[in-house]
Formats: sequence, structure tokens, C-alpha cells
Amino acid sequence: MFKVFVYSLFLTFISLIVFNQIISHEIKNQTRELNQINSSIRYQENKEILLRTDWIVRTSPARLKDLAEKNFTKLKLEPAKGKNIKFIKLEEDKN
Amino acid sequence: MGKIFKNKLIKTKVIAGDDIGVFFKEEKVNANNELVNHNSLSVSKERLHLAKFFFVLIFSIFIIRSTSLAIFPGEVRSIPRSIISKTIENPLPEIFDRNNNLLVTSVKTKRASIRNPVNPKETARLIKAVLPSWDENRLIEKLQKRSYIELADNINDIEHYDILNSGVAEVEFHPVWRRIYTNKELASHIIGYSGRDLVGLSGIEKTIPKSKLLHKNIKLSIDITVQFHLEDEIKKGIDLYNADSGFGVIIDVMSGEIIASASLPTFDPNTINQNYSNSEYKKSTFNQVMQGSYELGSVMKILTLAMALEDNKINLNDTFDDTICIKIASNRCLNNYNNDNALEPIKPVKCLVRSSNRCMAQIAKLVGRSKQKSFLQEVGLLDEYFLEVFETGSPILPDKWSNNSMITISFGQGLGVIPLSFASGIASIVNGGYKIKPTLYPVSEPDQRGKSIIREEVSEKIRYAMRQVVKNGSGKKADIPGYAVIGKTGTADIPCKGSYGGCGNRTAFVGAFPGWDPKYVLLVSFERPKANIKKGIKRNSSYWNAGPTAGNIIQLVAPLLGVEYNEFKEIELPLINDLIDEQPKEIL
Repeated sequence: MFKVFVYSLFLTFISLIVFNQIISHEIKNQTRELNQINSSIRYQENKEILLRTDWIVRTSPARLKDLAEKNFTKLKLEPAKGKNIKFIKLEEDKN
Repeated sequence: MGKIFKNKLIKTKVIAGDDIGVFFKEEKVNANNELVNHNSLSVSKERLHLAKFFFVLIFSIFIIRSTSLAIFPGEVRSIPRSIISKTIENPLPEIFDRNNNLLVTSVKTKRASIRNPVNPKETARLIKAVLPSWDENRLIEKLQKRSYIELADNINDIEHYDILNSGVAEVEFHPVWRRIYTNKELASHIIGYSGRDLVGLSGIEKTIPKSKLLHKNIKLSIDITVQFHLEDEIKKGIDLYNADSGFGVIIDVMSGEIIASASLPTFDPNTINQNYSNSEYKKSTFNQVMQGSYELGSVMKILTLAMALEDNKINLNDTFDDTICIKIASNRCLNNYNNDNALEPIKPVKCLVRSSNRCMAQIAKLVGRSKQKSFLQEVGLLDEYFLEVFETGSPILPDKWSNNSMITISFGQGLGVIPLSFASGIASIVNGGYKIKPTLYPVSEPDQRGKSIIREEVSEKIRYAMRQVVKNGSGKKADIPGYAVIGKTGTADIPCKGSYGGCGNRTAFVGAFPGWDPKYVLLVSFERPKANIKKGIKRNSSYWNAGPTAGNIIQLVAPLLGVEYNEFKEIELPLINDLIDEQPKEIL
């Protein structure tokens, strides 16, 4: 009886270890894949921040003003003045 | 007693590792009162059961633990603290302006370093080839002396690739975060800057770790386009008037939001860490608007007039003699600016338009020094200013608030005020008389007016008087059609060597627009501006420099802020009995 118990215990342990190995192998593979995806996401995110920053730098007021001044003869752009803007009173205000 | 003693002895023996059977034997003797022979087999069986139990227990713990580790390996993966700090998503929050324009962000870069090179000379030669900014001899010296050297900070992908391919095996790369200030110099005094490893060193950047804003994006009340125009115009002004420095601030009179705040010369927070040893650069980090404390001159007269009207000490029909001698020293009378005295008695509005020191001294005398002090306290000029940044200054008060101090303060000398608190004080005067608190963060409710400082009627009268200054007085050059600009100019001598005169002056213009219902207050000031005859600037008073600059700023900024443009609207005096003869009688 005791022998049977020990053998069955031993077999259970062996099968559990094999099961462990299989699972851990699968998990390792999946983790590697996940890490790759994560790192590519991080890379893309960083690139996105860089692109966004680049866009902000390119559209900064100082740069736009310089460009407008440089190309004034061609584009005739200048800052908006008060009289360029028409203020329309809403219907509710009139009532 | 003897038995108990014996048992104890036996138990001690068991613990010491002797024959366990003796223990059982003794137990049995005690229980049945019979002598049982030595039973080693049953004892060893029991032992075996015990060992089996422990063996199964330990092994199952081991199996369960190893299974869980196989499934969740990350649970025990130990990560050093330094790496955790570098791998967090975005270590400092991004900063945006009121229109959601990005002002500051963090990008991930790399830091290259070298550890224990085998052959320093060869390593230095190879590094020099890819990083030409290094001096080869200096690098060799450093490599021989130290085991760890930082080669380059914030390297880009191409440099990274070059260094990898340089053939130096001992190079290490560490991911680091770098703050990018997208608008360079713009609003740098407000935003501040961060040092190495994102440690905030000034401005809003410094306040981030201490507040609970970490990892939440920050929105500021400033408008970056308005900020640009403000800085640009002041910069142009400094060049044109050959001034030492200049500053300006725009505040919303209802909410207290700081729309723009410029202090020039300024600095680029992206490069400050490389240039910080330069003393000029160090000086440019001083935020004049919030840290400075200056005598702003005649712009203070607005407050003198306001306190007298509020206290009912004068009304707009009273007259004041501009020719009398007001003694400020034993043998000295108070002079008006350029000794320009009105020969006839003048009314309070005219006093402000002519910027008469003598008139203001008389008004201050009527008000009294205790009321003057308490009024200025109420407006917020005498407090050490608190704002959302650490860089704040404190006002310079006279040692003793004597009668002489009262007289000089009435026209803006003898009291150093923080420009921001002065601008918010004027905003509190023109917004109907309610105190506002300046802030750098956008507020949810547009009307944040606090307790009343002056009556609405007094506020209206002050606005009328300020309009007359811009229309008929020294503020003419700031009169932008369509906004009925109200304001007041001020020119004050800069004190040096214990006295006034000979050290240049400080000019200022404080105004609000649109005049009929002020939305924004603007304060502009220049330090030591000079006349520029070639360009038509005849003198160095604020009429010639701060006034026109303020006018330019209002013209550029008002459309951006959505201020109503109306060429036909004008401010009228609220009460008929206070009407003064501003226009010649023939016209009326």
C-alpha cells in the first residue's frame, strides 16, 4: 500500500514537472512575443511624441511670423486686426 | 514531585535527540499503570509517517510554487529601483497652454557611457572618430583616471548607431528622458526648466514633483500666441529704445488668469543646462514680473485717486492748486515731472491726465497715511506675493510710513511693488472694484471676483479718468482705435547710491481694454530706455516708449483674445454733476 502510494506520488510529481515545463515554455514564447509588441509600441509612441513635438516646433508662433515676413511679397500675410473681425450678436442677446 | 522531575528529564532527552521510544514507553506507563516492553518498531513506523507527511508537504509546496512561477514568471523578477524609474511611461506630465497647444513634453533618448576600458588610448581614438566634440587627450586622461565616464547625453538614433559601430566594446547605453520645450524662449520664466534626470529647477517644472499633478497633464492659463506677441513687442521695444530690460504681463480682470507674462532678457530652457555657468544667462533666469520689486512711478496715481474717491474725501468737481509748494524736505518743494505745473486750479481727472505730483500729494494728505496703507494692503501691493511658482519676490516698503513716504508713495516713489501684484491690483480697480487673485492655471468659472475693494461707481470714475489719460494725456500713443483703451503712464527715476537721479529711469504703462467693459489688464515696463532721435523717439519718458509698445501689443493681442472691436463706443462719465470741462466751452 505504501509502495503504491510512493510510486503514484512520484509519478504525479514527474507529470507535474513535465506539465510545468510545457507551460513555462509556452509562456516564455508568449512573453517574448508580448515584449516585442510592447517594445514596438513604446518605440512608436516615442516616435509619435517626436513627430508631435516637431509639428509644434514647426508651427510655433515665432517661426510662423518669420515665414510670413519672409514670404510677405508672395503671400501678403499679416496679423489679424480688430476691424477684420466682425462681431455678430446672437439672437438671444437681441431679445 | 520526583515523577514530574523524572518526566521533565526524559522530555529534555527527547529534544536532545535520544531514543524517542523511551518517551512513548514512559507515556504508556503513566496512562495504564503497567510496564510495557521496549517497542522500537511501532516508534520507527510513526517516525516514518511523520517523515512521509513532511516530505509530501514540502514537495507539494515546491510543486505548487514552481507551477505558479512557471505561469507567472514576472511575480518574482527583481528589478533594481533605478531601472524602474527609467522605465515608467512618462516621468513628468506634459504642459499645455489654455488652447491645448503643447508647451513641454518628454522624449526618450539615450545616454552613452563607458566603463573600465582595456586600452584607453585606442578607445579614445575610436570615440573621437564618432563623437568629434571630445578632445582626445582629455578623454585619454579621463579614461585612465576614472572607471566610468559619460560620453554623451541625449544622443539620437544615428549617433547611437555610430557609437555601436565604432568598435568600442565597453560602451553602455542607458535610456534617459529629456524635456523638450517646444517654444524655446517663450514663457520660459513661467514654465521654468528641468535639470539632469528631470529634476525641476524653476517655474512650473519645479512645482510638479511637490504637487499631486504627477502623471496628469498640466494646463496653464497662458495663451502662447499672446505670449509670443507680448515678448516680441517688448523685445522690439528694448532694441528700439536701447533699454536694459523690459517686462510685461496681461491678466484677465474677471478670473485673474495670467494670459501672458514676459520678462526680457529671457533664456532657452532647452540649452540652459549647458550655459548655466555664463553669468549673463544666469541673470536672464530672473523673472522680473514675479520676483522683481520696482518703483513704477506715476501709474500709482490711479490708486491714490481711487482711495480718495472711495473714501469720499474728494469728488471729481474739487479743484487743486498745482502751483503751491509742498515741502518734502526742510528746504525743498515737491516738483512736477519736468516742472510742468498747471497755472489754473485743476480737477482730479485733470490731475491724472497731467500726472501732477503736487495734486496727488494734496489728495494723499486728504486721505491720510493710515488709510493709504490699509488701502494698498487691501489691493494686495504690500503682501509678500504667493503664486503657483516658487520664484516670487516681496515688496520693498519704506522703513517708516511717515508723511513724506505718504506723499512720495502717492505718485509712485518710495514703495517697491511686485509688477504682478500691481497689475492684479489695477485689474481689481477696473473690474468694478472686486479683488482678484492672479493664477497660472485656468479657472472653471470665468468670474472669480472676490470681495469689494471700491464701489462700482468709483471704478467707473477711475476708468473715465484713465480713458482721459489715453485720449488727451501721456498715454496717447497707446490709443488704439476700436478698443477705447484706458491706462496711465509712469516714469520713475531708478534709485542709486541712496538718491534719485542720474541712474536712468524706469518707464511703465498700465492699461486695460476694451475701455467700456475692461476684459484684460496690460502692464508694460522698460528699464533705462533712451531717446532715439534718428527713429523719432525724442525723449526717454514713458510717453515715448512704454505707451507705444503697449499700443502695439493691444493691437495684436485684442483680436486674438476675442475682444469686441467698436470704433464708435466711448466711455462716458457716469454722473452728470461730476461732469468736468474737459472740452473747451465753445464746443459744448
